[in-house]
Amino acid sequence: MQFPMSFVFDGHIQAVSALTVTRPGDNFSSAKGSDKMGRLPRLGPKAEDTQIYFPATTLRRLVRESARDSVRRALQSKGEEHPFTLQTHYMLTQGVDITNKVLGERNSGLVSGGKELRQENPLLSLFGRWRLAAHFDCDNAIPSNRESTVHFIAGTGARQNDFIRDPAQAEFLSVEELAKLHAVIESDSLAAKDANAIKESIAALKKRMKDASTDEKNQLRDEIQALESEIDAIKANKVGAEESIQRPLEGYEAIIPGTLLKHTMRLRSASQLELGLLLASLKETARRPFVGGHKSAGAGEIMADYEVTTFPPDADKPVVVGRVKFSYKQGLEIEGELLLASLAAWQAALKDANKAGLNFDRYLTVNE
Amino acid sequence: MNTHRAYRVLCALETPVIVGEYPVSLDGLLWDCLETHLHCAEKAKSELRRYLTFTESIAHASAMAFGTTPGTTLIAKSAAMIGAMRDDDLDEMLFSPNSARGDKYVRVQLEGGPTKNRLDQYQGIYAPFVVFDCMGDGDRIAQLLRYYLGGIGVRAKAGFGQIGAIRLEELDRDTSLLTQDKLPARPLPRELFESLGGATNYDSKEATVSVPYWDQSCRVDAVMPARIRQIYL
Repeated sequence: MQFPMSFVFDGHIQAVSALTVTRPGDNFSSAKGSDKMGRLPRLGPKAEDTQIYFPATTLRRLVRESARDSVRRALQSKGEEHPFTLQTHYMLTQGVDITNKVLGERNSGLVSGGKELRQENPLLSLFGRWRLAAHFDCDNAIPSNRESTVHFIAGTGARQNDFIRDPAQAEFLSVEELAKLHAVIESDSLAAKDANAIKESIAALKKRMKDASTDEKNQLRDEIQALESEIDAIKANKVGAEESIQRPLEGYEAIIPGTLLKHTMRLRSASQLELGLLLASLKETARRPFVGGHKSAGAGEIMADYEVTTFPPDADKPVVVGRVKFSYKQGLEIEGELLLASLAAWQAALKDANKAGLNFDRYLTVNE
Repeated sequence: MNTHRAYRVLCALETPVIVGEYPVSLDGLLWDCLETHLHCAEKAKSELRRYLTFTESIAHASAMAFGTTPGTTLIAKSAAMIGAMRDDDLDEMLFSPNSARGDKYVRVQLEGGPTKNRLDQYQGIYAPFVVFDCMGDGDRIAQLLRYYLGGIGVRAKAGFGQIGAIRLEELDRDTSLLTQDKLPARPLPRELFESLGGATNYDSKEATVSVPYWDQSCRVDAVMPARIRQIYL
């Protein structure tokens, strides 16, 4: 088979631990939680029953960062302590040009524009930057079983004041610090009492809004806003932290461990080195296969399994070229001669990057 | 033997589509898939004629419409994308000293300027299906789209407009150029639109009417399809 070639990695990701991600604008309120509870993204309307998914952007960034890290480690092993400048770091991590040179680049009408850049910097070719289309695509991961609920609310409970939970800890405080502690606990308690009364009033007003006319609604909104300002004032005047130490934790939505999510990645018109780099990136991903939030609570571990196919221009249908699996326990497992040869070709090129014509600092189509 | 027939291509929509200035056309999608397949833009352009019927340089391939079923409707939905450097990404192990002299590490400005953290909000539209009408080789079209097409619309590579199952329905007439109401179903040169029976007073503008649509050098006086079009399935 002759490169360039296109490949489809089709398979699934499995949640080894709970998976969660919170993005601005995805939250909503329902009987199960307020709009402050971290919600998973929904395929359709923001509602309890709508299918959740895990976003492509988070998965793509994991692979991109893994590519960057694997290249950096290889270059460091050759004695370069800091192979990347901040500018290269931004470009390889996010495709962001902090020099503004891409904006002013004069490459209009350039024959095979970008080809040389893609050869010298396969990482940028794979993941792209503004005005350089990525050869790598990554879909959102969508639960394979759409008939049953695959997420739950994690992290609920209450944050305790440690000195109330374990009063013996107070013995380790000085007299002055103990006085501060008394003031904080008293202030928390009074503030909570005052704020709760106001919150009840707000809830009653919100209930009245349902049957109110437009004019009445406007008036009620003003009253609610005034009461919310009172709560803010109480918090601002408190001794110690603005938010009470003791407070209920609403939690966050997370995908249930064990859930299978259908997932596809595509590699378009790629060179053998680009395929090899993608596989090296997945090998790096296997060293740290964690995505999304709440990693400190054990969330975010994934494993994945893909069948890799290509569709030769002279064939009637796609053909299987191998299989790729990765997990924290097993690392990266590759089946298929072409895939193994491509990874080996990439690793060989990285051994002497200069000789192989690789330049990870380059990001302009026209060389300076 | 000409195997081209009139079809409706129904693509199940997984995530909201961000529609650009004009909705994407099926010939544009197929051309992109063929370029990925053949690794050559010119070959892809000529190969497109095996997939679609053409009248002069115009492909019988409609622009995207949203397909709704009884009980469903179009839903406007916003989504955010964050491009941020987190604390972990700014560890001094990761890059060389970034001061002007390159001898020490200095704070990276994340609140503004070229190194800022970015939050982009996009307005998308969700419906059960996106729909294209065409005259062409249905089986070939479906095979190509099923293999190569991940998503459509703006920021498709970031997971917007993700496509699920694709199916074909044969139609009794070709509605890939004009809708049943005689409105443009895709970008059409004004002359062709009028010769097909389209309204003579329809607004027109300078636009590209064939692949590649990003090439602004071959614009003609054209009528454009509605940006948001709904088809009741």
